[in-house]
Amino acid sequence: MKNLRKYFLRGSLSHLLPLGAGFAMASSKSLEAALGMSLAVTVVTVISAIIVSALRKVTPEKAHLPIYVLIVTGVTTLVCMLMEAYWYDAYIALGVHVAALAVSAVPYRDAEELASENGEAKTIICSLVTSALFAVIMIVPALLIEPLTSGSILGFNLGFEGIITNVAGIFMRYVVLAILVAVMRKIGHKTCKELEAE
Amino acid sequence: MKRDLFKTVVLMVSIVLVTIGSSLLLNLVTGPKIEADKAYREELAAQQAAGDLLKAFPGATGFEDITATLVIAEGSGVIAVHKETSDKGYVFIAESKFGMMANNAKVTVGVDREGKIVGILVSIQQGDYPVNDSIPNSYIGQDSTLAGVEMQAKATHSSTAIKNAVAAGFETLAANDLMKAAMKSVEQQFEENLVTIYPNFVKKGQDLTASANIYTAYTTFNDSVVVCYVNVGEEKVFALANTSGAVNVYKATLVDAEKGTYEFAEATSEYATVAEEVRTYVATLSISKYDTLVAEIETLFTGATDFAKQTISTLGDCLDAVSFTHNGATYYGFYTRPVNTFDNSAMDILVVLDSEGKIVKVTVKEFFINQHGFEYVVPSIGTFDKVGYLDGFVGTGSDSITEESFTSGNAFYITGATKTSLGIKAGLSAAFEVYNSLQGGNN
Repeated sequence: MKNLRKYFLRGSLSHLLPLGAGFAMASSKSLEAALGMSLAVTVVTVISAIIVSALRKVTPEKAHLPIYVLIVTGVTTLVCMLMEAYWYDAYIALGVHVAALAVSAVPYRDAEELASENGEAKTIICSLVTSALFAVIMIVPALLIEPLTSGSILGFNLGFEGIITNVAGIFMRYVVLAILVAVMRKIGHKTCKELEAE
Repeated sequence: MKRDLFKTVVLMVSIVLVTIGSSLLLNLVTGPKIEADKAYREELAAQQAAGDLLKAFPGATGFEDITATLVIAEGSGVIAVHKETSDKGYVFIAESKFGMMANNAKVTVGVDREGKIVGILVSIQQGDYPVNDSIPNSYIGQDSTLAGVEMQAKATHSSTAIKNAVAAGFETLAANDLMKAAMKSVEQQFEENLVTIYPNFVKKGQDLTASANIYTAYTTFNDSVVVCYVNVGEEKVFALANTSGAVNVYKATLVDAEKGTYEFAEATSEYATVAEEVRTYVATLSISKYDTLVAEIETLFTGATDFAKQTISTLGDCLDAVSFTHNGATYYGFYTRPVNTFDNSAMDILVVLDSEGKIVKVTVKEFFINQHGFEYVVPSIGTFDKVGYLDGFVGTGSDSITEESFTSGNAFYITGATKTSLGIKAGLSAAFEVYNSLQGGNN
């Protein structure tokens, strides 16, 4: 449990958030895009981490990066194909950002810091936590912004017109991200101190 | 070291092979679905497009896209031309940009074999006032001259863009010999040339009641000039007149019989009776600003007497002029009304000059900036000292009203209000022009 907390808060989560801010900001315009990207991030991060963890004993130390590149891009390609076939609206809404997951720092960080040193079970749990964190970052703003900009959510009319512009929506996403970074920084700092004291 | 290299190569090749294999396997499932979905979406889009064509050409049996076979002028905005399959006519799709943000107005127009519009769909990109339904409806039944189409107040740019897009479509049909362009009437050509004939013309004002040989009459937007279309036997001539009695008569000469193109030239001396009829007609209209001008002067110059209406012999933005006496000195008052071409609003300016041609007083009924609440956009406008600004003109003559003095950083430029500054300049220039003509051009 102690190790799990340590991995969960490895480094500083407030640094991890900006690493994924690009796709998180791009995906929080609508709830469908946020849900789609959350699923994509979860699948890519978890499956990549599982494969990295499974191959950790045969992966030479100096070959980590090229191996991880191949694994993450491979998994991302498969996710893109699935989304195009079965969740086209989200695929179109997300545009290039789904494919850009292949070069996102988030799955690489999980692979390098976690999966390369731990077994599959711990890897899955920590990857799910990372993915859940990003899901919250994308879904919470989307829940606020989509109704406020369009007066609807997931295509359901809420009975009022959009009351803020898209530009204001972009600003709101950054505000939500900044608040989350601040909260995570506070939690991380406190927990790390406790861990050090123990 | 070599062992690590070997392991790395084997691992990478394995991952690549597994990825390719997985992709191929997954593609067996997703590939057909993606293709089927794509075909479905294309079918929907085609149905939508066909639906639009059918709306633009009700009763059509089908359409053939003939765009690739036509010569379409670059920059015309014509996107596509479809031929109705039973040869009833054509549908063209064209767009025109408008406004500072280059928004698009897209039209889908059905034209029958006689060259008349049978249907029109209009799509306006966000960024302008909404266009009323009456605008597209006014195109139904029109030919390529588009003589009777409506322009919407406060949506002038988008209305013009719609007209331009439709005109471009007609030009393409005519250029490709698909139909003969309809001839524009001499009246329509005069109206289209009015801005050249009378450069102060911006747009039409109010329609006036016809009288005797004057079969059409209207004011310009700022009431500076009355435009009259006059029958002279079989001939049609055109006249511009102000309320002071100045009249210019224009004769139409057919220069291209095949296209029906006319040229217009001033011929006032040739049509003296027309000029007199127009002068009499305009005198009966209640559009003069003389009474307003006198009332304003009486307020500003208590005890002013000997008011005498002055004749304005040239057509321009000065609507009325008066001379008067105050404390034994002679003054001249002018009512000018320049137009802000940015959004077609007018600014009422009163200018009083002394007998030396120096400004004694300038008042403005409402600045352009205040007509649009620009003080919220440019904060300095909110605290702008209008009285102080206008008092700054006192004592200056026509030599101070230069292009430079109304540009940024100079004496008469209002920061953040270029159009208003230029409007003031236009009003003062119009007053000085009339003053100089009253003085025989000596000042």
